[in-house]
This record gives sequence, C-alpha cells and structure tokens, in this order.
Amino acid sequence: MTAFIFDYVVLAFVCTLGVVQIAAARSGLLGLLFVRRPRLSIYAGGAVVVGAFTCYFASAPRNVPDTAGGLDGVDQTLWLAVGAALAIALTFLVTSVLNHRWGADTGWDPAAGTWPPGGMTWLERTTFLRALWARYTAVRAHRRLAESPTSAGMVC
Amino acid sequence: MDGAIVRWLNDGVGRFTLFDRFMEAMVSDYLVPLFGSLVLIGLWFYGTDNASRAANQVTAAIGIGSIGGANLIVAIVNALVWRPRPALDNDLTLLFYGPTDSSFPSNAAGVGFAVATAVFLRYRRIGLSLYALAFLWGFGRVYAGVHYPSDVIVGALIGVAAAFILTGLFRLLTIIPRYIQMVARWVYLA
Repeated sequence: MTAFIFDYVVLAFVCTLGVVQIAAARSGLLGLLFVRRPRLSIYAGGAVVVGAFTCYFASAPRNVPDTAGGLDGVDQTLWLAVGAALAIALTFLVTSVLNHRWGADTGWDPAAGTWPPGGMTWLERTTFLRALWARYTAVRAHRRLAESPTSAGMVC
Repeated sequence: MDGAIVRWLNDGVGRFTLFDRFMEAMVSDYLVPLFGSLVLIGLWFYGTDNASRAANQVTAAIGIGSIGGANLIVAIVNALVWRPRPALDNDLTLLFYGPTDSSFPSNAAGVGFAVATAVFLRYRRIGLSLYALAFLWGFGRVYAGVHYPSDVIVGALIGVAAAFILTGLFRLLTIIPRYIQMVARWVYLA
C-alpha cells in the first residue's frame, strides 16, 4: 500500500466515522453514538469530516494521475469500501463497549418466546452487540423449542 | 465555440491564487466522488423508523448503481468517440494533470450528476446541494482545461439518465433489494 492509498483510506475511514455519527444522531440511534448527546455528535461529526478533507488536501498535492501513483476509478471504489467498512465496524464495536451500561432494558423479553425486533431502529434503545446477542439467544431458544417433541414453536 | 469557452475560462487561471487552489481541490478525483459516497453512506443509516430507513437505503443503493451505470455508459462512449483533450488543441494553463484518454464525454460530470439525481429523487435539498457540487466539479474541469463544455453537458445528461434507469430497474426488481434488506435487518446492519 502506497502512502497515497493509505492517506485516501484514512480519509474515507475518518469521514465515514463522522458521517455515521451525524446520521445516527439525527435518527435517534443512541446505541451508535460515541457520546450519547445527539447535538454534540452532529457538530463533532461535521467537524471531523471538514477537518479530514482539509488535512487531506492541505497536506500534499492530490491531483495525481493513476499512472503516477494516483488511484483509478476501480481502486478508488475499492479503497473507499475498505475505509468505510472499517469505520462502520469500529463504530459498532466501540459504541457497544462505551455504552455497555446503557441499553440493557431493550423491551424484549427472552422468556416471552418472541423474536427480538429487527432492523437498526432497535439501536435507538440498545447497542449493536446487545442486539446481536439477543438475536443469538432467540435463535438458540427457537432451536431448542423446535427440537423438543412437544413444542409448538415460537411466536414470531 | 466549445474551444472559445475553454480558452476564455482558462484565461483566468493564475489571476487569483486562492480561487485556483479552491478549483484544484474541486476538480480533484477525490473530493466530490468521496463526498457523494459519504452522503450515500449517511443515507444508509438515516431514518426515523425502519420504513423510512429502508427507503433511504434503496436510494443509497440506487446512487451506487447509478455511479456504476454512468461509468459504464461513459466508458462505452469514450471507446466509440475519440476527442482529444482541450489542452492538445489550445494554448491552456492546466490546473490538473493532463489525462490521455478521450475527452468526450466527461466521466466526472457523469458520476457527479448520477449521485445528485439519485439523491434528489428522494431528498430535494440534499440533491440540490449535490447538483451544485457536481456543477462546480464539471465547471472546474473546463476551467482547469481538462474538458470542453459539451463533454461536461453530455456527461451530466448521461449521469441523470443512469440514475433514472437505475431507479426504474429497482422498481422493477424490487424483490432483490427487499430481500437483501431483510437479511441485513436481521443482523442490525440495515
């Protein structure tokens, strides 16, 4: 990986972190915020994006052809995907750790025999890892019930 | 007339250093495409409930597809129609490196207008902002001596057309994005 590619991946990574914070804050997805203050997250996310672009373009000449170390369209797409995927994965993991004391009460009762709610909207009330764990717990319970000869199945 | 417009605009290069620095960033391959992609990433997460988020995610997917579609159409036309870059036929001051591929049509305008149109069909304000960025990107390419105005206009039309085609395709094949969303929603990625 050349320095030029590395800079581009870092730019994509940092900008994605900022954009996800803005989008999550505006959508009320508290479980995806590093700091559970939506307004602060929006300003911080915006500052991160603007700062990252400014640093990127101020630090070195960026109009480099793909024949001289720059990136062609396919490489740009690929490295953007790498940076963005890393940022999204980091957001999911770090916010789950930072907010681990929050979001325990998800409103879903494992004993009720229902499936936990699906979709990101549930991250308004809990963290990504807690939501995944609930899903895993429900799948296990469902399997146990299905294997039991007297079972009637779970209520979906 | 195409050449006269490029020469007239490019005549301004070097007069205002700050404006030139701004245009150097604007015409870059890394500013507008990345910004447009970030808007699409933001749309993936944005929504007040699962239904609105699902619609935004379809918009994001249409945006990504439109970029691919516009690139494909531009590549085909590039291969069929050869037009030398303006700097080869005119005495210009380049603000950008000198590309060697065909000038017609502009890939940059295609990509910029494809994303802007895809977003505009759902969010007018954000779409208009992206149109403004795409216009600046295309204008910057003419100012920098990389494209003729007609390259940018046709590129923009291709981008708009690609977005409409992809929107139509998504409506026709709605079951595929819905299935992908259903799976992603199951593990809280959508």
